Amino acid sequence: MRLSDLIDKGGNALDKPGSKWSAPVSSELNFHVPKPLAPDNDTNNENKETLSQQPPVQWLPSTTAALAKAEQRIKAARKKTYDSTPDAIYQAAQQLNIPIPPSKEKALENAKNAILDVFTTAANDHDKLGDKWDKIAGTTSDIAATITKDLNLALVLERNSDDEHHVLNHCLNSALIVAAVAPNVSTECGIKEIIAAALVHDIGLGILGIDFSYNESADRFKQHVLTGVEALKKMQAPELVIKMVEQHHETIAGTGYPAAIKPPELLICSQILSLTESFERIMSNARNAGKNGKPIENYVQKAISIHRKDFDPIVLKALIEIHGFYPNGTMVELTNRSICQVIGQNNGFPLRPIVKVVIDGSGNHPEKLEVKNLQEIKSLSIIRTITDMNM
Amino acid sequence: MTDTNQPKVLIADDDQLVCKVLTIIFSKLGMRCLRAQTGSEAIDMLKDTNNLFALMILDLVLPGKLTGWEVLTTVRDCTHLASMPIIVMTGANISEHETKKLLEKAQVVVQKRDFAVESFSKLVINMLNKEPS
Repeated sequence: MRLSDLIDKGGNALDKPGSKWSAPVSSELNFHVPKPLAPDNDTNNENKETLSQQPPVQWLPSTTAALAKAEQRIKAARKKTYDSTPDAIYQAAQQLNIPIPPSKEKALENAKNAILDVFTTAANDHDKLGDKWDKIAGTTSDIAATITKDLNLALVLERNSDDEHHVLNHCLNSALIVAAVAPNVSTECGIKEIIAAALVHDIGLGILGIDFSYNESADRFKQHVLTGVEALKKMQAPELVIKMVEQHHETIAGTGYPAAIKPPELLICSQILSLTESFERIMSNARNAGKNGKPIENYVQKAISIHRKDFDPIVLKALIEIHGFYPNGTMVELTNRSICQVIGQNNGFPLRPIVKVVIDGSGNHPEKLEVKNLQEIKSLSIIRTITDMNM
Repeated sequence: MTDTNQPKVLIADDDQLVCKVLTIIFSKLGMRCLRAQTGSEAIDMLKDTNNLFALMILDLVLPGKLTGWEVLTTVRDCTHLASMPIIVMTGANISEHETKKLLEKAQVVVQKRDFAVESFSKLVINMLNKEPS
């Protein structure tokens, strides 16, 4: 027996064919359908009469547009393969006066907006940078809290891959990865300082108005380091943060820029930032290559082989020790719209685990065990994480 | 204060907000909720004979080793749990065919996107012949 049958039995035909959004349902889903104003006091007969004499409510064009938008949202929600907390649940929570906790998504959105604001100010209104560090500091705490609660990096990284804000996303993603890598190494500073440095390490690119499509060996590209340092000094960022940003293209071999320094001058925390930001770019490029049907590379192995001589072994080891991006037991949605459970890992390919199909693309639970190794099936990728093992 | 004589409901769902919503609805119906965040946790709680549940709310897409389907099969294979009413609540867009299959083991399948406080309360009242306390 389905919900609608039971309700009908109870004498309340909520789900009659053709009246899906009719009065009883609308009153329950009142966030979707605006209602005409009701009198303040039901016992006020005069007011009732006045209202009854009024012509039928004419929806304003904006209301009609809002209704159309609401209808589109309902349709879109119906098409979604999986939605753990759909609008209906939020509405129920609102109705029962349950405070809605700030989601991880919200924390990340806030973080992104904060960096965008700082980057925009740095690029357009350098003189107003003075009071911006507080914003970055606040964001740093949010990110540290997000990662503490949720070590499943893929869950947060996958949301930050739009091309429009490439440098911005790179900074945010680097901060998230740093928050997972940094606890594995003993460094000269606290984790929050490295996260803060990661958030702003490429602010110079924003100021110069260039991104990673620019020739990286060109002087103008290299200039982004010192341009960023200058902006951070204006923001009165902590000294160690400025140092990390200044050193994020240096190597232990002294082959980096802008100063070609070596340890001990080159700090361990700077090396963590440097390796992490490089790893993020390898992952980001591989993700784009995967979208274009090119072979997916071993991200960790590639980062380690490129930078074997650039960083202290303890820094390289810290990257290898990052937990699986999709820990076993995590539920994920694939590009073929199936919902799968992660049941195994492929070494060096944290984004391409082995999965078991739980709901196929047609909305059915397979009768027989269906296992897919995403490392072997290149045409399939994970779109998003649905549930996460680090609750 | 918690009344230990209140009928108990087991909510197996990893979504905190869903659990909070259900807990308030059930408390208004005079029932006490216990929560399991994974399938294995739910099975452990059901097997504990100190916990006799009047009803189970089961999410299908649970993190961990056991999915909702596996929990459902385990529960129905267990003699002392075979008759326990189960409401499957899911955010997954499952097919009609799948819904029918689920209804062989569960009493009701509720799509979370269609959830509404009043209709859900009535559903529970009808299922358990329960009056609000």
